[in-house]
Amino acid sequence: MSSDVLIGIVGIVVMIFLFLTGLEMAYCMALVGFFGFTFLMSIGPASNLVAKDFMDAFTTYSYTVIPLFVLMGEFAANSNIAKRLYNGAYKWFGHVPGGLAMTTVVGATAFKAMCGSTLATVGTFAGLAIPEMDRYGYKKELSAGTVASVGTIGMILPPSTVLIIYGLICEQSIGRLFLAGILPALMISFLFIMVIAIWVTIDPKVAPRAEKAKWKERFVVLPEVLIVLIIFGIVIGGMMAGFFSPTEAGTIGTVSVFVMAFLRRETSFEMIKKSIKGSLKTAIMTLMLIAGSSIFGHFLTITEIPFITADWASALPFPPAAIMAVIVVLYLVGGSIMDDLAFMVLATPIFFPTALALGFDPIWFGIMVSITLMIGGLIPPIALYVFITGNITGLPFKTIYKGVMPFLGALVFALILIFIFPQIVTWLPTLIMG
Amino acid sequence: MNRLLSGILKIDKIMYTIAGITLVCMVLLTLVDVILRNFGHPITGSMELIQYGGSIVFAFSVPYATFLKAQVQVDLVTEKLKPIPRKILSIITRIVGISFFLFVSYNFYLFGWDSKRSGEVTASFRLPFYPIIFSIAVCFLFQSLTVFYDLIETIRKAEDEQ
Repeated sequence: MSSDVLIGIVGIVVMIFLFLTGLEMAYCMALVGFFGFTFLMSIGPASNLVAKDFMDAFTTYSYTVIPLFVLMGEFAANSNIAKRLYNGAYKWFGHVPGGLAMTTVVGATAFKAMCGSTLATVGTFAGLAIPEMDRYGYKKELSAGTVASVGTIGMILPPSTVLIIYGLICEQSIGRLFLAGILPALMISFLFIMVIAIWVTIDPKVAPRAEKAKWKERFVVLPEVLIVLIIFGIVIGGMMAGFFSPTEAGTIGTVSVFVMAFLRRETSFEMIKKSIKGSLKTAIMTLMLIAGSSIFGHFLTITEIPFITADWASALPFPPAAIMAVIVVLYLVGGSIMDDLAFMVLATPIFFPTALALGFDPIWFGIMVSITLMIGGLIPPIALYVFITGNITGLPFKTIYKGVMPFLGALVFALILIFIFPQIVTWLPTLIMG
Repeated sequence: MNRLLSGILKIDKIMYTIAGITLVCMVLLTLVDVILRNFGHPITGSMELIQYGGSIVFAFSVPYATFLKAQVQVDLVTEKLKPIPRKILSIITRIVGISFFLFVSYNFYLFGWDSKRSGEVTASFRLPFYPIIFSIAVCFLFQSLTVFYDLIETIRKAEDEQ
């Protein structure tokens, strides 16, 4: 082992230690990257590196996509769009056994098609769907478990911030990644509905039936869904067809959602202010992580650890699928002990070259990584989606964890399916973009 | 001290407001550009303006976003510590943060002078880069002061608890 590699390994260990001290993750990565670079080169180039990487993060055109898609989601979350979508889905599915929980899955999936933020989706539906399910006597495990789990779908359903960041870090087409995420996201939504159906069949008391809506009432709500599909189609389709860059697509989406809320008199100065404030906060969280990871990544590059790891992994006497399984497990462990997005930003530059060296499709790898992050967001100790649901509803975490378990099973099943059949991911982008 | 802290927060908020207004301008500019492009009259250099605007949005948001606790932390271990060790650790990490961002700010200040001397400008509008670089230096200075604000608050809370 060369001394550079050893220094790189020491750097990774020090960084993990710093994470545990409570120092912000972006600072930890930047600090270790700076000191590591200083140790291997000298303080002059290391100082330039810090300034240059922050400068690149702040002045790169493609990163402007982040606040725009988040703003689109903030506008959607701060208007009544989610409520109307939920009510629409309720008219269609509310009367079947477990229908309100299924309604939550359908409503949240549709809402996420307009909202870039998974956390906003969970936050919105925790306040919206759980009281409704309480009213009909649904067991807390089912209602809270559904809400916490369904929010994770947003990690792969476009416009997904996770996929945007993956695309920017790994220099992959964001449009292709968005297309690749659609089928797996719909498949997971369907699996979640199946989980609810099976759960209710086994224990009918968990979800009493709600009222049946008349056919007229059902058709009245369809235009609402249609508007969402049109916005989704314009944003994603416009990007696919080359009409817009991702930044422009984010702008068109933001303006469309804003106009939709405005026409329904759901906008106010306070709502706009709150949305912009939320958008900037999320954008900075992401940008600082990207800048920190970039500094750390440059340090790792001169230690050659990513390339040595890739060479080593591809020379192992195991099938590539087995090595990929180990990488997936590492993402699961990492994503469960720290913020999932932060772990992705940190780990992807290390494992991406390995995935390529093993012959895996980079788009498929992005979706696999995102699904492991979805699982990581639901398993302890850092189960972000469980925490948010718990904080909003005041339910004990134990109850929510219990409710999340069957959905976790569905996510693991989806991960295995996509592992065995990568076409689930690659078929749509290949069909449309070649 | 209180006046200093409230002054830091006030400037942070002003910078955040500038970032928000710039974000709205970026949305409008991009929208107008997309519309005009369909009529065969795109705005020349719009991408450059968005890029310039983006750097203002990002840099000016950093200090107040930090005040809003936007930065990701792992509190897995720290939340299990007793109050005194936790406060001590928090004070140490705040001092590390202050020092680091002062250092980053200073580097941007040097970088800005280099850019001014070399006469670096954008491609279409020939806008100089150095005002942006100096602005980023100021933003990181305020980022450092915001972490200082956090440090003082941590110490005050520790004193109150005792």
